[in-house]
Formats: sequence, structure tokens, C-alpha cells
Amino acid sequence: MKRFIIFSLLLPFSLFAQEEQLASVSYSAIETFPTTPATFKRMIVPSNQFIDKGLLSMKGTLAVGLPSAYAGTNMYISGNLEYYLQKNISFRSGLWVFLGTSGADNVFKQNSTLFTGFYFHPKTNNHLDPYIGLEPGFSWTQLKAPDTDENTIIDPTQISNYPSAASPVVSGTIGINYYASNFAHLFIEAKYMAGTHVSDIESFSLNELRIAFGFGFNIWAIKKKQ
Amino acid sequence: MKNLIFLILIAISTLSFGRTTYAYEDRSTDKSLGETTFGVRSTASLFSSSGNYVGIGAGWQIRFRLSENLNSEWFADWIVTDLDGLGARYDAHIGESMLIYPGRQVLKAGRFTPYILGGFCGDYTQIKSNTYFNDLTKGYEKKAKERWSFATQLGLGTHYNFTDKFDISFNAQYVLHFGKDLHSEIETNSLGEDYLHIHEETGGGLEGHFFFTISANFKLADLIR
Repeated sequence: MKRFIIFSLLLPFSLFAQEEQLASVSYSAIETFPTTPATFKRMIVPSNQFIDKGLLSMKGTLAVGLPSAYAGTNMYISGNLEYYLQKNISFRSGLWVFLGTSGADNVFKQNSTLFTGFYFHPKTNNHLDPYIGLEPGFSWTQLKAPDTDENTIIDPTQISNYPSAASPVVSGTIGINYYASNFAHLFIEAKYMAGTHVSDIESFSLNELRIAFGFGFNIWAIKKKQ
Repeated sequence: MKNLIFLILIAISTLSFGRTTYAYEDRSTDKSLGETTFGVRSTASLFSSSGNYVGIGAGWQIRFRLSENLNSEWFADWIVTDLDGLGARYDAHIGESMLIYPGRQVLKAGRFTPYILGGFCGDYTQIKSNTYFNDLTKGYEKKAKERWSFATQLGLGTHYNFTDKFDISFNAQYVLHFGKDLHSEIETNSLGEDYLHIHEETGGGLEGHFFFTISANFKLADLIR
């Protein structure tokens, strides 16, 4: 009977010992422990995906915008700086400097935009890097005063000194990079942004599809894991 | 007697290991404490006392997680609303919301994490009218009025965890302002033209907004561990 009692008390002792071994392993080790065939395959088969944490990417190009409120094409110099926080997540800040409008009366004197946001990069097994992003931002907007002469009859309600404004905008972006080397890449992307310019006369929609493509530079801020 | 002492020692040892195991579980449940997250956000204001006009806002936020079931979200927004082409409303919100995760929630990749939010904020509101003919002064003019107020908010939302560190969050919230009354209405003057009439009554007033917010957030650091 005594042996049975001693055995009963020793049994949980050994069980807790197993628990303790698990507890002494770091959480990250538990989380990455291969629990499924897919996870195990990912661990033993190296990925050929180029992008990784620590990649710093810079883009600069001329870009166009197709506004939904009026005919014409807006022209921009576009540039951004993007850092890969994880293998599939990056943070980007970009500036679109307004150059003017082609093919229509110039509506805006200023329509430059600063965006900041995050991008998700689906897994690939090569140097291609498709991405999708959410970027809120602010546009510095100002309407252009219309050309008038002394015979022009002006509606008093449309008299304005055309003030500039910081107009909040929201945008969604889809695009793809091709990282040709450790230093350079090609890209093409489409960004739809929504917002409104308000001043002391009738408001104006800032909704626009912006398209950019070209060449960018990239460096490894943190050495890539092999 | 020796056997009895031996049994007591084994029992004490077993209990000690039992406590170790509980401590391990406590650590696992509290591992989210101190998570600090940075995010960008865009807010749509769906209605206010100025009417059913949609405003678009942009801002930033920082979350500091207090426990497995409780998070805090500190935010700043700038929202601009076009009032039917006759004026504009500007709202600045700086505040804090507590996010309560019902049940046992694990922020794990590929999962939704629903939450209830509630909090408060300080607000600045300005309403501007475009130029219009004023029947009283018999002249053209434009007006602007502003106020500072406090507000409390309540809503529902969810995170979608793309990875263990990155989430996209959606929430809808009702925000109730406590402050000086400020609202506007579209009226018609003697010329038959619509214009924005800004009202500013004496005394306090309550005003409700409905906001829908989408945000993208990345866990930057764990400030506790």
C-alpha cells in the first residue's frame, strides 16, 4: 500500500517535470516547432523569395493621375522610401509632387500628396514581389483662379482668394516589383485615392487613379538571412 | 515515521511543481502585456448635426496593450466634410479608446480578433460657409464658427491579423460630443439660392457622429518584457 502511495505521488512529479521542460523552452521555439507537414516543409526547404526583413527600397519616377471629376491627366513626380519590417510587411512614406494637368483646363494650382502606410507582400518563390497597401495621407490642394477679363461677369458667390488646404485622403495601392539585383528593381503600381478639396467656393473631388512605373534602388539595411 | 516524513516531502515537492506550472501558464496569458503598436488610419464620418454628408479623415494611432483581453488605442484624426458644396466642416479628434477582447483571444496570423471599444476624446470643430447673400445685411458674406468640446465614444470592431505583428482593423463607433452647440443647415435666401446657415446657440449641446475607421498597424516593441 505504501509503495502504491509513493508511486502515485511520484507519477505527477514526473509529469510536471515534462511540463517544466516545455516551460524552459522559449516561446518562439514553441511557435516555430514543426506541427504540420506544410510548416515542416517550409523549415527544411529554403525559400527563394528575394524580399526579406531589412530591405530598404527607394522609388522615384514620373507618374500620371486620371481624375474622376474632370477630363484630363494630372502629372506628378513621385518618390517613396519603403522599409521591409517583416518578410511580407513593409512601411512606406511617399510624396507625389503635382506638376500640372494635361488635356484640360488646369483645375488645380497645387495638388501634391504625402502618403504613409503599410504594405502586404504575398509570398513568392522568386524575385517578383506583388504587393497591396493601405495609405492614408494629406494633399496640399489649391484651386487655380480662372482666367477672366473686364467683360467677364462674375457671380459674387464664386469670388474667392483660392486658399490652399490640407485635404485628408485615403488610398489603396496594388502593384508588383521585380528585384533584378541587390541594388535595383523595376516596378509598376496603380493607386486609387479618394478625398475632397474644400475652400470658400464649391468643393472639388480629389478622387483619382494614379499610375506609376519605373526603376528603383534597394539596399539591405540588415544583412539578409541565408 | 520516516515513511511519513518522506511522503510529506514528496507531497510538498509535487505542490511546488504544481505552482511552477501555474506560473508558466500565467506568463503565457500575460505575454501580450506591453505590446506597442503603431498604425495609420483613415476615418469616414458618416453623419453629424450638419447633415448626412460623408467626410474623409486621416490620422495615426498608437496601441499599448494592457493584458490579453485589454488594449488601449491613442489616436489623432483630421476629418474634412464637404457640406453639399455650400461649406465645409473640419473636425480634429485626439483621444483614447479601450479595446476589450471578449473571451480568450490570441493574436495569431490568419485570425480575426473582434473587440468592443469605448473611450473619450478632445475635439476641435470648425464650420465654414461659402460666400452667400445674406437677407439681413443685404450683402454677400461668408461665415466661420468653431468650438472645442469633449466626446465619449462606443463601438465595435475587429482586427484581421495578417501576421503575428501586423493587422488591419475595422471599427464603427458612435461619438457623442459634449460642448457648446454648433450646427448648420442648408436654407434658401430671398434670391432663391441655397446657402449654409451656421447656428451657434447659447448654452451647451449634445452632438452625435458615426465614424467608420480602417487602420493598418504594426507591432513595434514590447515595452514591458
